[in-house]
Amino acid sequence: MNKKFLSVIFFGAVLAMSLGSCKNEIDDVFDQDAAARMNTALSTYKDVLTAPSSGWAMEYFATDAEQGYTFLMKFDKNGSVNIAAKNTYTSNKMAQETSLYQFIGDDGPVLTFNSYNNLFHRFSTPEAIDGKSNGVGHGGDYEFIVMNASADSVKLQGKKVGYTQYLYPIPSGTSWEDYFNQLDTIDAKMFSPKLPTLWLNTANGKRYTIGNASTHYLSFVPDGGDAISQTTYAAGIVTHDGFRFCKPYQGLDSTFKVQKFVQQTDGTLLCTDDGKSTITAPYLDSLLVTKTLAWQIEPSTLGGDFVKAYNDVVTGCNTSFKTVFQYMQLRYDGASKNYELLFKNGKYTGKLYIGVTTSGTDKVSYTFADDGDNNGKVHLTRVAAFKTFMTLLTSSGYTLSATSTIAPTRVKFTSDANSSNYFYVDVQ
Amino acid sequence: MTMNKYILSLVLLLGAAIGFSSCSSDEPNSTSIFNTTEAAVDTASATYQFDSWLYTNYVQVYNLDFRYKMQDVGADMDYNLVPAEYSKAVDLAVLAKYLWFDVYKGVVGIDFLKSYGPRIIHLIGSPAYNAANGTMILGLAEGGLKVSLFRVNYLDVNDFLSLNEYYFKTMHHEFAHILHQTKTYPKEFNLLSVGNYEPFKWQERDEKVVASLGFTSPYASSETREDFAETVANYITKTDAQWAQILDWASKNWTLKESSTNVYVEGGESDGVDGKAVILQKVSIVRQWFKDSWGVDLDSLRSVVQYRQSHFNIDSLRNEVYSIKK
Repeated sequence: MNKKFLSVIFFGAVLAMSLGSCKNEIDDVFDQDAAARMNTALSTYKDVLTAPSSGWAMEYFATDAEQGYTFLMKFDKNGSVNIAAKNTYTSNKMAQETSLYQFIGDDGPVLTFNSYNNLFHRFSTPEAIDGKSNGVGHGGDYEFIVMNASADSVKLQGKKVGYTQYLYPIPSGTSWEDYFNQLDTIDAKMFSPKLPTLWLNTANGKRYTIGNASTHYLSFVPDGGDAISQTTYAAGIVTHDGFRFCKPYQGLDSTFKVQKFVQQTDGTLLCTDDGKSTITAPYLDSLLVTKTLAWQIEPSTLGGDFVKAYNDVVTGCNTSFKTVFQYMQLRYDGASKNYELLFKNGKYTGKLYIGVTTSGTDKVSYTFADDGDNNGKVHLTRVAAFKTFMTLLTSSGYTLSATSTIAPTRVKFTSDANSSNYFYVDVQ
Repeated sequence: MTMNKYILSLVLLLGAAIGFSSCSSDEPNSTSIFNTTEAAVDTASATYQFDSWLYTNYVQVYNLDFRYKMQDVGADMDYNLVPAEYSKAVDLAVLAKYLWFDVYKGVVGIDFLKSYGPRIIHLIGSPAYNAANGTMILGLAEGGLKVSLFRVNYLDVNDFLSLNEYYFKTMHHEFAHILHQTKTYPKEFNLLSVGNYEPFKWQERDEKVVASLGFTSPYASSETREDFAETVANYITKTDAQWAQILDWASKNWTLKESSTNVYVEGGESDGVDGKAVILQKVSIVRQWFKDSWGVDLDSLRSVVQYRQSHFNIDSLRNEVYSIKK
């Protein structure tokens, strides 16, 4: 009896377990099986990528130790993709090449560029670069997991190396030449190779001095920090609306996080991650006294008394030396360790030493004690207009201004005593 | 006690049977995870001509998947590799048919490769570099079914010596592995160069020096099975002049040139090996094994390869693909 009872319990229990386990399989959580859902996703992604008539701009990073590169891509339903690039590897001229792509169900939905494209796969090929051994190369991905895809953007993640890449649709009717030119224009507006440093001004009040911005592989030194032991680096790319780092930059102490910046009308790059951090040029007066920079007075931009003062120098030089006056520059002379007004008159170069005082932001004033190198002193003696010009230059302080807050390659000096007296200088 | 066990077993069996039967009523979805409804070749594809040619010449004839669109999961992910260029893949496909598949077809008959040929040929554009020792992988044979060919983007159809060195010698080498993984070669082959193999530093050995030790290449001196595959591949693909050169090197002694670390000149003490005799003995074993195990006349195979590799017309071969109507 006991055995029969036990058997009944066993039958009941096992039956219940069997039905229970099967019930889980019967429920339809999804309307398609996994393979069908994957195929649907791949088909949808292909539709998204082939839709824009002018194609997509891919902001691509091979690694976070190298600047990013823009590729323009037009995907065709037939499995081909036309790719354009304009970078140092194409001698900065736009080049195009057609190769193959495919959406595959692999490590999730994957976009693979599965035939070699000289423009694109050079960042994945293991051939040696920069004197390193064969085997690594740039180390970039050419297969990407599709994280999400819409008509506005596509987010990809490199399958092997793992960096996030974005594609944005190119506005309809925009030629690829024009698109690259627009990027060049944005780049030039942001990063002048003539200006050595920028500032990262973080939302929490920290400041980092940025170097090498025009290479798009930026160095950062914290304000007051040691450049040898505290320099950090971040790779970035010029985008259609500004600049983006490969991955969030967090400084030395990770108290902030910045990645995407959008250029404002005054040139400032504003971080869209926190809405506060900016990238700007240093204060203008500090740029004017940067010892590696020379600022040339632009004769066509003179205003007020500076017009006659400058023209008299030109005329006086011609009269006294039968020469054609060429230019004046405000700069630092490493040899004499003086700031100076350097001038070029015909074949003669002369230097008039000046003292400089800055306000710490946008004010500068000069002093002059009739000192200079031999050529400078000779010109000062033989061309009276030099003395007049130096007197005018040192007669007041100046307020500095520039059109761009990030790439002030041209700075306006406006006299604090008389605002109609002004001149512009261009960085050399 | 025995009865209890019997009952318990019966209960479990019944329960399991109920469980399975109820699960089996949940019919598996008849839809394959692969798209079997698709036509064999997509007429709308940019690669239709090539795909069509591959389907006709490789899939239908040899049931061979010629993978020219690289899948990195099909390669060693530890290496940085890139896909093959499309046009290079076309060249290699038509040349592989002419210089390899059609050779076996003519010498042995089509069924040989149908039975023993690779099921997958996977093209990879770059070499697989071993940075640690400065070597590169040119080919891999995996499980007797798949051959991976590397360095496809360097293919130069106008240089058959490099074609041989980097692709077709590699294919013969890898196929030799497939064959000996199927039917093992005579053990006596492994005894001919005992003590002269150098598994870790073979790449530092000079081709003349290893010839004098009885090897057809430095790689052959790495281990016995590579020695076997290299003997097969070099004998078939080396030109008469190249083969004579190897045997000539093999018959001499070599010594480091004074004040040099890698240039060898004739002379010096004997290494104690009659390299030429050893190489010829290895070829003899290979020849007999091909005949006995596979019914293949190795010299006929070599003869046809030698003729074809110096008489192919690449434009004509390419035209087989590019003339296919879209």
